[in-house]
Amino acid sequence: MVKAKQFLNKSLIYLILLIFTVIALFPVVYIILASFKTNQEIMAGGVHIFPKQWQFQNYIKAWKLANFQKYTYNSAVSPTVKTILKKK
Amino acid sequence: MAAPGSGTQDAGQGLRGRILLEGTIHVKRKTTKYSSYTLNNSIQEILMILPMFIGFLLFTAYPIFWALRWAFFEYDGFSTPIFIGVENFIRAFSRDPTFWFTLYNAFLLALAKLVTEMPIAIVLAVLVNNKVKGSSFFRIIFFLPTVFSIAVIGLIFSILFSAYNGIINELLVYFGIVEKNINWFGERWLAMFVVLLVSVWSTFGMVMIYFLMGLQNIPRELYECAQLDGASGIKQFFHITLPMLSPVIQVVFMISMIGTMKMTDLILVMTNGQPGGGTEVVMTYIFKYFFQYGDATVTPSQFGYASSLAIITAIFLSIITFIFLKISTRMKEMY
Amino acid sequence: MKGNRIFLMVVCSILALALNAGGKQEPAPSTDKAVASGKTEVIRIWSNDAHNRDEYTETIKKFHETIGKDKGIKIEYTVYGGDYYNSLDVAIAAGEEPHMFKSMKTGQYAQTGKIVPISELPGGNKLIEETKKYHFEDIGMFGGVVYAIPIRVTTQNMIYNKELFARLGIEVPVSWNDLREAAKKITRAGGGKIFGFGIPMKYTNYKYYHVAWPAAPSVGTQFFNHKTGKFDFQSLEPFFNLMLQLKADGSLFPGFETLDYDTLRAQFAEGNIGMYFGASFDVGVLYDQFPAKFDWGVAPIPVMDPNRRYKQIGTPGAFYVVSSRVKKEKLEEKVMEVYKLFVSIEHLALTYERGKDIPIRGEEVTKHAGEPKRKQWPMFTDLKNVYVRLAYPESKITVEGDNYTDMFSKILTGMADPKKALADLDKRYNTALQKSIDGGKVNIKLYIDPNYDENVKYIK
Repeated sequence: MVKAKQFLNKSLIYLILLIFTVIALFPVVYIILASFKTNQEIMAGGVHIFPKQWQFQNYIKAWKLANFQKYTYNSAVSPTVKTILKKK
Repeated sequence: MAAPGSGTQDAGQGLRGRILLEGTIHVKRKTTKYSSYTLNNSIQEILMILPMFIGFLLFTAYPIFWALRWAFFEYDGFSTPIFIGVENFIRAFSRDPTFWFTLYNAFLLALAKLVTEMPIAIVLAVLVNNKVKGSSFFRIIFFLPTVFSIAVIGLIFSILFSAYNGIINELLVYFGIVEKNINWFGERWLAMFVVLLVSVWSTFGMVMIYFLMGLQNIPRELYECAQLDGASGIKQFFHITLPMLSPVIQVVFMISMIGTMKMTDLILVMTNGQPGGGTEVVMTYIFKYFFQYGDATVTPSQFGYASSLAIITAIFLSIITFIFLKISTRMKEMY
Repeated sequence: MKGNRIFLMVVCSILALALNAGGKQEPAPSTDKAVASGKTEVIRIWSNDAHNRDEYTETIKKFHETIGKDKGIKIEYTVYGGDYYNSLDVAIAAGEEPHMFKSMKTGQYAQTGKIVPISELPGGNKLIEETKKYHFEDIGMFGGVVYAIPIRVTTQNMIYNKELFARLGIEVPVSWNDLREAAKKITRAGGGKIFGFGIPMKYTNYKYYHVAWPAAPSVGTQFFNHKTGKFDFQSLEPFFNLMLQLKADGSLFPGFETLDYDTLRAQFAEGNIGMYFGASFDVGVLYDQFPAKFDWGVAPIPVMDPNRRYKQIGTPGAFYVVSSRVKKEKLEEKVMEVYKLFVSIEHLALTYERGKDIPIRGEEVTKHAGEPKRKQWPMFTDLKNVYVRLAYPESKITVEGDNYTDMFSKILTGMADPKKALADLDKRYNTALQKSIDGGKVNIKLYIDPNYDENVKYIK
């Protein structure tokens, strides 16, 4: 009896967690997949979650346009190098 | 005559001894040594706070001063400001019902978000607090929505809730819950509901983390004792977890309330105050008096009026905070 | 421990090198090395016109090889994105502004002395004379003084899905009744997937293109009457009724209350909307940004009564102003050479031919140009029945309560009664206007077209 109750409890907990996982994850997945779509495809919306054609060049374009190179260098490498140098 | 105590560690005992024998001079010396020690400390403390304090002066105090100033002027951003005294405030209180409407809207949103988000976050925090296998996996999942920028979230959810072909509508129709597509952004309450949903979605993970941290501070023994006494899980939750979490709840409540009342970005991106001003909140309203975006609009900004509205809002928020603090301190005393 | 540290150093240096290897990623300003004969001055120009960047680059290159070389002028033309007006304001405040720039707040800059009148520049008077017809207060002109030469005009027409019309056997609507019927037919046949008419209401600047101007061919005025010099929102009532009827018929693309103009065009390009009121810049959008998947056409905006038709509205655009620093740096002559280039017939003909800009001088320019390749373009460029409007005095008045853009949204979403709301708008706006006139802020004469009736008459 106790074992059954424990099992029910555990399943209930998992169920709640699962529901919220779907709620949290679904839009995230949509966003990630949308990053591979063309502008027109995103705006037209609809039920097609997967891109018709995977636009990998979106990432290259974004990297160039937002000057990610410089900023990533600035925020990631520079302080790391400096910290290491200081420790010496 | 013994020499005065050398180190501050000796200060206490040496002082007691010498004061009886040597008199005031030694006390004075001790005091000097003591105060030079504290003076050094004080200088260090001040220096450490200085950068943040300068930042506060420059980026918080200075703009607030200017807002307070402009509230008494009529100023469109480039011509000469005209001093008009309390005219702006009179206008806000007597001739601008829209402002109060947007304040009410913002307050409704804040309240609704609190009522929705806090229970979800607390329950999830408890469940995810090592109750089942894979808790850390779930923690990461729930935190993911907070990572994305509001602009992206707003756009994507507008598409998901699109009245024309949004996935939400398609699902609802497919499962027979509704007959035809709901125009989510076509009516005020529906639109407010969607804004609430998206807002909660984007922050519940963060709030859950706060509560998780609060949970870590609850001593295990309390639960063990309760279990020995035969208390069920739910009883434990209401009589141990919640009361012990109340300081965290208080802080989260206040931050969430003020933060939601200041919400601008989500509204601007998702609905821009439509339908017909139904989702306009106080900060987007004020924003529109300060900035006119786009080059097709050449209506002049009304800095003075906007500043006065901002001041009124700030006072309103302070009153809410004050009331809330009073209530929660009293509740704390009860526990 | 030391080994770890060295390893980390190595990894980081490789990363640092890799990240810096790409070099500068900023868009290179269009410059060519001008062979310096004498002193070469760099004239800096800012704009936010992304759609005609290629044509400007071409023209500037040719300039560098001819006049630029001779007179020692090098043009640095930078195109900004959405943050243009903010960057511009910051630069002006810091005294770092470019020599020439595209401006929307001409009045503001003129008042604070940041820009120079064209007449004070060598050869400026000639340019002013050439475009005499198009100098309007608050549009390039301020306080009666010309600060920018008008270059282009944006016109409006109805854009429709030709293929869909052919398939359903619908004729192009001429009257409002035709429009309603056509929209109903399309929606019925569309089965929830295709809708007859689309209108976006999300942002405030849609009020011109989707409410005020489409009403003009039917009622003869926009929301501001250039004949009487007063606001006349009530004249828009029939148009609002038409829109509300379309809404009641169910022919409007759903979600119009928060519909974005980009989303509307994307949906049109997908074939989900039958028709909408579009503008000349949509030609570029429907070819480059959201390529339409079918044959689409352009038609005049339907009117209430086909026997009583007025001209459609065109709005002047692209105002380049000259900064006052040019006088301080004594660069007047060189800047004028560049200015003349930007308003030259050659350059305007080029942008016209490529389907990018409509020259405000119309035939004068287009007779020197080749045939535009995009077949929908000529419908927009025919200025015979386009009334190039004067400005509205809205930039000089302060209004309390909801401004008209918010009221328009409220009317269309059914939250306000059209008759009452428009009457209230008239009252509030005209009161504010009178206050500004009395206070000397507005010279109403500059907003009145003395030949209005004649100018707005439809030419068959």
